[in-house]
Amino acid sequence: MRLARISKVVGVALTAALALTACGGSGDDAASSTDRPIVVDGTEPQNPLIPTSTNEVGGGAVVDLLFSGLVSYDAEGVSQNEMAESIETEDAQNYTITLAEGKTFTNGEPVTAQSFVDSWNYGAAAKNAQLASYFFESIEGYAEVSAEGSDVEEMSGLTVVDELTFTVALNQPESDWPLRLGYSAFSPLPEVAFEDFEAFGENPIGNGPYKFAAEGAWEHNQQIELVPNEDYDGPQAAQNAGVTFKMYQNGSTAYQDLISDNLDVLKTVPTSDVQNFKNDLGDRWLESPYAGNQTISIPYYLENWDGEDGKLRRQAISMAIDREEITTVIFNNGRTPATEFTAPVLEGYDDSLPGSENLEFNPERAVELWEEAEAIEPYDESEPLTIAYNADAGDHRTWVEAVVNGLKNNLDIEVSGLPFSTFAELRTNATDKTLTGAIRTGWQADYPSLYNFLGPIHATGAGSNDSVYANEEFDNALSEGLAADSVEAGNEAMNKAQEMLLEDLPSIPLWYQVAQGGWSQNVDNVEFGWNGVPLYNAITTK
Amino acid sequence: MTWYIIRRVLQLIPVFIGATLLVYFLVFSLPGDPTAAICGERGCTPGVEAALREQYNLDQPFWVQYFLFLKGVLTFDLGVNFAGREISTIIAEVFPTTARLAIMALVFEAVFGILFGLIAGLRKGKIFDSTVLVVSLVVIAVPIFVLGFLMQFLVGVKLGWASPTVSGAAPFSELILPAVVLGLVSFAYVLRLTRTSIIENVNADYVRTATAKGLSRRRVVTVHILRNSMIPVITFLGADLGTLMGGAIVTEGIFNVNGVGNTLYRAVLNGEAPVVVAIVTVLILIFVIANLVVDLLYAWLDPRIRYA
Amino acid sequence: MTDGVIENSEKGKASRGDVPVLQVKDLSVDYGVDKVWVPAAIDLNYEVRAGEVLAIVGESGSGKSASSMSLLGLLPENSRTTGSVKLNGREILGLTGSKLRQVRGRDVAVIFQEPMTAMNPVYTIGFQIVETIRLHNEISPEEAKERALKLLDMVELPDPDKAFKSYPHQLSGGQRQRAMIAQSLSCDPKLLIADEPTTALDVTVQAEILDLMRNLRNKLNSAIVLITHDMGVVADLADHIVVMSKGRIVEAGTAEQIFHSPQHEYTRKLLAAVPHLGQGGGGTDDVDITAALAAATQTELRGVDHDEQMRRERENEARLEEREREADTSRGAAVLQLTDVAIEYPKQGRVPAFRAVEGANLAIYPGEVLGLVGESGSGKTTIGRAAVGLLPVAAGSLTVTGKEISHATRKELFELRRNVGMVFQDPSSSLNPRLPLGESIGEPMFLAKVAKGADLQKRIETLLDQVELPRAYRNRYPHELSGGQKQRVGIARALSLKPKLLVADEPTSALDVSVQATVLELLKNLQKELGFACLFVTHDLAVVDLMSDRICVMRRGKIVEQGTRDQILRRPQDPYTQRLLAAVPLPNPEKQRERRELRAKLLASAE
Repeated sequence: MRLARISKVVGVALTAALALTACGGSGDDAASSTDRPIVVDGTEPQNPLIPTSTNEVGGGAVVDLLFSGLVSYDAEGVSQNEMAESIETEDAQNYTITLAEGKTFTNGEPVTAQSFVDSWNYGAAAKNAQLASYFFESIEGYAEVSAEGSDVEEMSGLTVVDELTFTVALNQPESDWPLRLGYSAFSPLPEVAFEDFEAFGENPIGNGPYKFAAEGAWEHNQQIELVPNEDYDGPQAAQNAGVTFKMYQNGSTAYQDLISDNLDVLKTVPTSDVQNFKNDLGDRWLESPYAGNQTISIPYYLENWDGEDGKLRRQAISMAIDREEITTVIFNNGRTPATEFTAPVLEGYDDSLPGSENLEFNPERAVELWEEAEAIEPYDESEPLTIAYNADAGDHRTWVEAVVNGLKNNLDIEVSGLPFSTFAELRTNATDKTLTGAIRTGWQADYPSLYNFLGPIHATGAGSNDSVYANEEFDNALSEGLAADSVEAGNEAMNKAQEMLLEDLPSIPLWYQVAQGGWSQNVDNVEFGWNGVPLYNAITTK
Repeated sequence: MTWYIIRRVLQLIPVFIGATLLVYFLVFSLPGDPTAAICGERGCTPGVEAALREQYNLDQPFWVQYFLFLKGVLTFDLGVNFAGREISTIIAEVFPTTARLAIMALVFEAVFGILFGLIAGLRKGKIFDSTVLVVSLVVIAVPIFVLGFLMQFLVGVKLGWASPTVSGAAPFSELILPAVVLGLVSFAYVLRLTRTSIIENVNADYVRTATAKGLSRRRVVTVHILRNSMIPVITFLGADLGTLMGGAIVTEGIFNVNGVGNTLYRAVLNGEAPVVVAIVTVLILIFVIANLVVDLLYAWLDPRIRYA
Repeated sequence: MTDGVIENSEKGKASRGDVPVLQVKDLSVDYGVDKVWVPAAIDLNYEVRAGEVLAIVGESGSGKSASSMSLLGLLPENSRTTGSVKLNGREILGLTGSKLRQVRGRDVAVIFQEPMTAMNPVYTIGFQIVETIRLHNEISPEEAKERALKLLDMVELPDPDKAFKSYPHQLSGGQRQRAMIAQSLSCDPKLLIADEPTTALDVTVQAEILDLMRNLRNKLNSAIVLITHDMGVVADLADHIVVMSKGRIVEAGTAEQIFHSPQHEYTRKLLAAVPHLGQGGGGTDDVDITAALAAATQTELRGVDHDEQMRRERENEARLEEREREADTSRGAAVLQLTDVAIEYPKQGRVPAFRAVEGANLAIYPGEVLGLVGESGSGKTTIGRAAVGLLPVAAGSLTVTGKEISHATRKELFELRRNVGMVFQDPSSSLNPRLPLGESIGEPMFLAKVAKGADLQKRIETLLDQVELPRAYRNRYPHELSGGQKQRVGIARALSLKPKLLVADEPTSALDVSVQATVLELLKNLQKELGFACLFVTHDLAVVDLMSDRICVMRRGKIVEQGTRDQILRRPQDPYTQRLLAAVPLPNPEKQRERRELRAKLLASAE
C-alpha cells in the first residue's frame, strides 16, 4: 500500500473517531427536560434486594425507596406513620400493631399483618441466613429461631390477630422499640416473595414510594432504574419522575460526572475533591450532619490497655488528639469534633455530659495522665500501639495517619497506622479477637435513637463490641433506660449510662459525620436526612 | 502444521489445571474470612454465619472446594458468587465490555504506533523522531492513573468532547477515550519497537537491492521494509491483547467501565475464590489463543519460520 | 603507472560500438565522518564497452565497491561524489528522483555479493522478479510472470516453476545467485555491475556461475563491471583489468598485460600473493594440473597441440613416480587416528539427529601436514572439532597421541587437550576482547599449570617472537590489531603448550590475500621448526596445496579420496576430486581457458 493511501485511511479513521466521540459524548448527559428520572450515585448492592438481606449502603438506598414499613422517619428523624395506623403498648413489652386500610403492594396484593409477620419470621430464622436478622433479637422466640442450625421458623412472640392487626411480645421492656420500626428490615413482604426468593431478590415487589421501572431494571454493576409508585399515598411520595441509581466504582469518577452534569446528585464528595468541591459547585453543595460517628476502639484484651492504668492511658490518648485541627484541615470542616458517644441530630443529645472533657484536646493533661498510668503499671513497650484500618475503601489512611502523628508529637509514644488490605481481613481479626492494637470503628445509626449508639456496641457480648467492654453497671443502666416509660426518661437514663463510657473510654469518639454532597445544575430541592442519605423523593428536576 | 495447532490447543489442558489450582489456592490462602466481608461492619449472628458457610462450602478443606469447583466447570456450572448471582452470567456480562475496550485499545496502539514509529524510523535523528521519542518516554514514565484522570478531566469535563464515564451498555463511541488511555503505554512501546525495527531494516542488503532495482522510496518502504519490520511488532501486539484484557483495572476504575478488571478486583477483596478462578480461567484461554494466533501470524509473515 | 583511458584491446570482440557503454572520468567519492571528508576513491578514470568485462581488482579498503556503488547513487547519505559518469553518452551522475530510478534496474543492474540477504526473505523469488519487470515495463502480471519464468530458465535453474514460487531461504546459495542474476537481467540492462558475485559461494558453484556470466555476456552483449579480489575469477572472466589500491587506480590494462607483465609494484605483489593451485610450497614443485586432469580423465584438450599435451602428461607421471620413490616411509605412531568414525549432531527437540560425518578413516603422523578439503557441508570442520574433543564421536574410534578420545572422561580430555592446539577461523571472535593479548596467549599455560609468574612471561615473549610480533604487543587488546596480526596471536596461543597436533580451521579465510600469504608462510615455517603435526581444514584448494604434505578430500560427510599431495594433484582418481580441481580458477588467462575446457568435458561426462 502506498504511503498516501495509508495516510488517507488514517485520516478517515481519525475523522470517524472524532465524529463518534462527539455522538457518544455529552449529548447524552442529563439533558435538562422536566419529567425525567434523576440520576444519583450508588454502589452495587452486595445482596439480593430483600429487606432482611440488606446490610450495606448500596442495597439499603434502593430498598428504602422500594419498601415502606410500619413507620418512617422524616428529615429530622421523627417517626411518622406509613403502613401502621397505630402502635400501642402498656408496658413497653407487649405491643399491638394495627395497620391502615387499603395499602397494597405494586402487584395488587394487600399489605396485611401476615405480610409483616411472615417477613419478620423469615428474617430472623437462622436457616435463611438473612444478614439483618439480629434486628429481631428483642422479640420473644428469637433465640430459638436464630440458634445455629435451628429448624424453627416462627417466633413465638409474633401473633396475627386479624388481617390488619398483630401483636408483638418482647423479651424485655424496651421503650424505644417502636423507634426501630422504620428500619428497612421491618418491611413487609408480599406472598409472591415466598414462592421464589431468588427471583424476588432480583426483581422485588414492594409497597414504597418507588418501584422497579420494569422487570430487569436492575442492570448489575451498571444501574437500577426506579419509577414512582402511583399506588403509594404516604408522606414520602415522589416529587420527580423516578430515580436511577448509577453504579460507580470509585468516588472520583462519580465526581467527574457530577461536575460535567452527567450525574444529578452525589451523596459523598470523595476525599480527593474535598478541598475544591465548594469552588467547583458554587452553591450546589451542602454539608449536613447526620447520625454517624467515627471512633477508635482499643480492645481490653491487650495488657497495656486494661485495668486502672489502661483507663488512664485511654483518657490520655483521647486528650492527645486534636480533633479540631484534623476536621478543619483534612476534612475541610466536613466533620464535627465529638463530645460524646452518639450524634447531635438525635433527640436527647447532650453535648456537655460529665466526662466530656475527656474528649477535649489537652496535651498537658494527657501527659500527666500517661505518667500516672506509668506509675501504676509500666507500659510494655514491646507492644506498641497501632491503629488498624482497611486500605481497600473509604480512605481512612489520611486521618489515621493524622491521629497517629498527633499522638506521637503530643505523647511521645510509639504509635503507627496498620493497614489491612481488605475489609474482610480487618473484620476477621476483630471478630476473632486477634487484634494487636486499636482498630478504627464507627457507627451509623439504624434508627434515630441514642440507644442504637450504645447498646449494640458497648453492651457486654454485643455484636459490634470490638473492644470487649464488659461493664455490668453499664448494662444495667441500659436496661433501665430501655424500661423507662417515656422516651425522654429513657434518654436521660441513656445519657447517664454514657457517663460511664466517657470515663472508661472503651472506644474513643473522634468526630461526628457530616454528609458532604453536591448536585448538578439540573436539579433542585436537594436535602439530606438524619441518616446522611439524600431524600430522593423530594428532589425535583428543573 | 495442523498437528502443531492441535498440539498447542492440547497444551491448554495442563495449563488450565495448573493455573486454576494455583489461583484457587492463592485466593483461598488470603487472610480474612469471606463471611466477614459478607456480613459487613455489624457482623452476623452465629446462626447466619453458619448458614452462610454451608451455602458456600466455606468450611470444607481446600481440596474439596477445588474439586467441587472443577466438577462444576465440567458441567458448565460455574456456581454463584456471594451475592447469589450466577458466575457465568457475570462473565457473560463483563467480558464483552472489556473485550471491546481491549480491542479498541489494540487498534489504536497498532495503527498509530506503527504509523508514528515508521515515520520516526525513517527520519531518524530529525525533529519528528526526537519529539516522538521524548513523548513516548513521558507516556511510559507517567503512571496510567495520572494520565487517565488527566485525560478524563481535560477531554471529558473541561472540553466536553466525550463523556467522562462510560455508561452500562458501553457502546464503541463511549469507549474511545478509555481505549486511548488504556492503549497509551502500549502505543509508546509499539512506536519504539517499530522504530527500532525500521532502523535496522533500512540498512539491510535487500533494501539496497530494491533501491538498485529502481523502486520508488515509497514502495521500498511500504512493500519491503514494512513487512520485515512488522514481525517483532506483531508478536508484541498479540501478547498485549491478553494483557489488555486482564489488566484494565485502573482504566476501568477511572472511567467506570463495568469490566473484567473491576469484577476481579472486588472478588479478590471479598475472597470469592470461584469468581476469581472463573475469570482467570477465561483470561488464560484468551492468552493462550492469542499467543497461538500470534505464532501462526508470525509464520505467515516470515516464511523462514516453519513449525515441525 | 598507467592512468587514463585503457587502450583498445587486440582481442577483437565482435559488436563494439563507438561510444563506450560506461565512461567514468575523474570520479571521486568521499565519506563524511565526524565533519571531515575522508576520501574513499580518488580520481578514477575508466571505460567499458558493450560485450566487454572490466574487472576492478583490489583488497578491502581499496575503494572498488564504493566507487561502483556511487555510479547508481547507492551510497549512504553521508557521502559525496564528484566527477562524471556517462552511460551511452548520457550523464547519470547527479541524477535524482524518477530519472535516476529509470536508470536503476533498467539501464544499469547490480548483482550483489550475498544473495541470501540481498533478496527480501519474506517475498518469493517470483514476486521480486515480477516486481522489477513491471516497474520498468507496462505489461500485465501474467506476461511479467512469463518473462520471469523465461529468465529463470535462462540462468539455468533446474526447475524454474518451483524456483518462481520459492522463498530465498529455500534455495541453495548458487541457485539464489542465479535468481539474483535473473532479476538483474530482467529489464535487459546495458551495464551489469557485479559486486563480488561469487565470493560467498563454493568453488564448484562459483565455476558454474562464472560460466553462466560468460554465456550471458556473449548472448546479451551487455557490458559487465566485475568487482572482486579473487585473481582467479579475474583470469577466468575479464577482458580488461583495473587495479585499485587505497582509493586510486594504480594500473590498468588488458588481462594479458596485467597477468604477464604487471608494471606497478602493487600489482606484482598482489599477483605473487595469490596462491596458485599446483604451485606448491617452494615454486619448484609446480604441478601441471591441467595435464594431470587430462590424463586422469583421458580427455583431449582442444586448445593445446596433441603432442604438447602428451608431453605434459608424461612429465606429470614421471614426477609422480619420482615423488613416490622419494617418500619417507618412516613415520612413527599416528598423532591423530580416525577409524570408521561417525560424528552426529544430537537430536534437538523434534529435529532428528544429523550425521555430519560417516565412516571416516584417516591418520596424521608426526611432523606431517594433512590438508582436509571440502566444500560447505562436507564435514571437514566437524572432524576438526572432534579432533579437539569439542564434538562427541557417535561411532568408531578417534585417538589422539594413542589415547581414545571418544569415551574420555573430563579429566582425561583435559590432559589430552594439552597435546592439541586449535587456530580458529575468525581471529576477532576467538580472542577475548577484554583480555590483553599476553593473557590470551598465556592462559593455556596458566590453566595447565605449566608455568606461572616470571616464567610464564618469558614464555609469552618467546611465543610472540616466534609469530613475529613485537613483544610490546602483549599489553595490547585485540581491537587494536589488524586481522593478520590477530591471527598470529591465535597461532601463538595455539602453540603455547607445545602441542603435538595443531588443528587449523580455515585460518586465513577471513583475511585479505596479501595478509593471507604472510600468515601461511609463518605457519609453514613454524611447522618445520617446531615439528608439530597439523590438520589443516580449508575449502581453498590452492592454500591446501601450499601447506600440505597429504591431502584428504571430503564430500557430504564422507572422505572420497586421500593421498599425498602429488598423488592427489597429479593423479586424481575420484570424479569429485577431478571436478573440484578443475573448478579452481587459475590466475593465468591462457591456462584458465584450458582448464575451462577440461571442466566442461568433466561435467559432460559426469552426466
